[in-house]
Amino acid sequence: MLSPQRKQAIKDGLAAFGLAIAVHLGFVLILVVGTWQWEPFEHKPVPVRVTLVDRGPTAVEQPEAVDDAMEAAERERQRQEELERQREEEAERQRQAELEQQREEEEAERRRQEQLEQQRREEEQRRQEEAERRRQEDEEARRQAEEEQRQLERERREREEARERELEELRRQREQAQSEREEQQRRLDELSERREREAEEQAAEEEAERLRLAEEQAAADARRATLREEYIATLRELVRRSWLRPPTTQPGVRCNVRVLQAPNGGIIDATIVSPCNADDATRRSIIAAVNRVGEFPTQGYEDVFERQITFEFYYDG
Amino acid sequence: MNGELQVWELIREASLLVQCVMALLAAASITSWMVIFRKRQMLARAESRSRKFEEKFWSGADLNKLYDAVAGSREPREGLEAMFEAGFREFTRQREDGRLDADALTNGAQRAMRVTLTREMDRLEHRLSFLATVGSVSPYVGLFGTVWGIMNSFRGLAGSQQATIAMVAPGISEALIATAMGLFAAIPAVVAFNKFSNQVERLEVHYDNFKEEFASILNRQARRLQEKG
Repeated sequence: MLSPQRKQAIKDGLAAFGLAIAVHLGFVLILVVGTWQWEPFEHKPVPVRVTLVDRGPTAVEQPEAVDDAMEAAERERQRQEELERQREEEAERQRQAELEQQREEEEAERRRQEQLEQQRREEEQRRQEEAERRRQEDEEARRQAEEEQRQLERERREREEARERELEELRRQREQAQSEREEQQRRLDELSERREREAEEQAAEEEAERLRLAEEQAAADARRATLREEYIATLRELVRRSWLRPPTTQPGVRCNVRVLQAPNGGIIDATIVSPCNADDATRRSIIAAVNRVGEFPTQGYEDVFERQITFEFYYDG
Repeated sequence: MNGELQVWELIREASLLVQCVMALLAAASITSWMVIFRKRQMLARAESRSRKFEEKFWSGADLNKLYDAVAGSREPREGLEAMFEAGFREFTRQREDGRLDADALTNGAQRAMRVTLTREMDRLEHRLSFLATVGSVSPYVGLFGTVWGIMNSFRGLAGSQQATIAMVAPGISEALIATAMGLFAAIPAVVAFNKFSNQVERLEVHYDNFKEEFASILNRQARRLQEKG
């Protein structure tokens, strides 16, 4: 089983370790943020220079030429026959084409006549439709105008009514707001009055409490002051008792003595501090007297104990 | 590729020896920060406890009562309390043995207190030397890692026909991380060492003063006993 101190030491060590790790994590974070923008290194391959050499074109093989006169003559004859046949075919085609054309022209004339007739009929129909449409439109416009007139009239009446109603509503709201305001004002007045009353009461209580505390404090201070006076008087008396008055001392001696004492009252050091109206011999005798006392009382004076205490020593004959 | 990966990669691609150096430095840094936190806590506690004890001591309490309170406390005694306890115990024991010679009584108490003071100082200074070592050595260790890394980098350069700066730059960058880590470990250690040794010195002066004052108080008491006896 580990002793509690050992356990405490281990706990402290772990805490310190945790803190140390935290510090390092913080630094790593700063490092990461700080190096975020770094460009990465690229291990580029070193470029290699390559030289290409052109050796010029290589030789090409020549094709063989063949010539045959007989074959040529045969080809010429065939070509002549072909031409003859083509001319005959051409004349036949032309005749056919002329006949065709005549038929087509007659047909076209007939179609044109029909088209004209058709156009005239359509024109007539369109005119009639137009007239009908215009008449209907006029009728429509008249009806719309009347309708608009009626609509306007109705709207005007509605607007007036709405204004009337609004005015009425406004009047009502104003009255209501007025009454609410009055009510609120009344409540506020009440509230502030109550608060004032409470505040006055509290202030009075606080005042009383403060007075009581001040009295207690004053009493404690007074007790302490009395105790301190008593303590000083005791010290003075002790010193006076062990004082051996030198013959040169005149009555009316007033000397401040500072004494350094240990916690158990043992006197460590005594010095005369200003103001002091005594001569050297008297001063020495006072210090000797303090040292002769040896130990100041501490029992009962713990509250007013001072490590370094200064008091007045006097002699009036 | 982002920055984190980049730094990490630099560390990972470093040679084995440089990596060892880096690991050593990281360990040193973490340990020194641990010592820093422990020491700081310890010194703060020593200061506050000695201040409290001194207030109690000079507030005019009875020394016997104070001794009983200190000796009976469950907490381990440290600093002024330990010195007071040791001195007063020795003083009381010698007095109970019937020895009345004032100087002998005081000397015994003073010796006991001196021993305690030395022990306390040892306790306060414990591990401070580690901080000093880290502070002074880790830059050199980091530098060693860097030199080694750069050496390797240049050796690689020697083998190639077309030398470019781009071939050595990553290696040098890798190696320089070791120096950075060394400095990173050293700077806090040095600062903390200076701060703590100053604090320990002040505490020592403080303890020493208390020892002398307490000895003089005991001496007076012994002399009074001697006169009475």
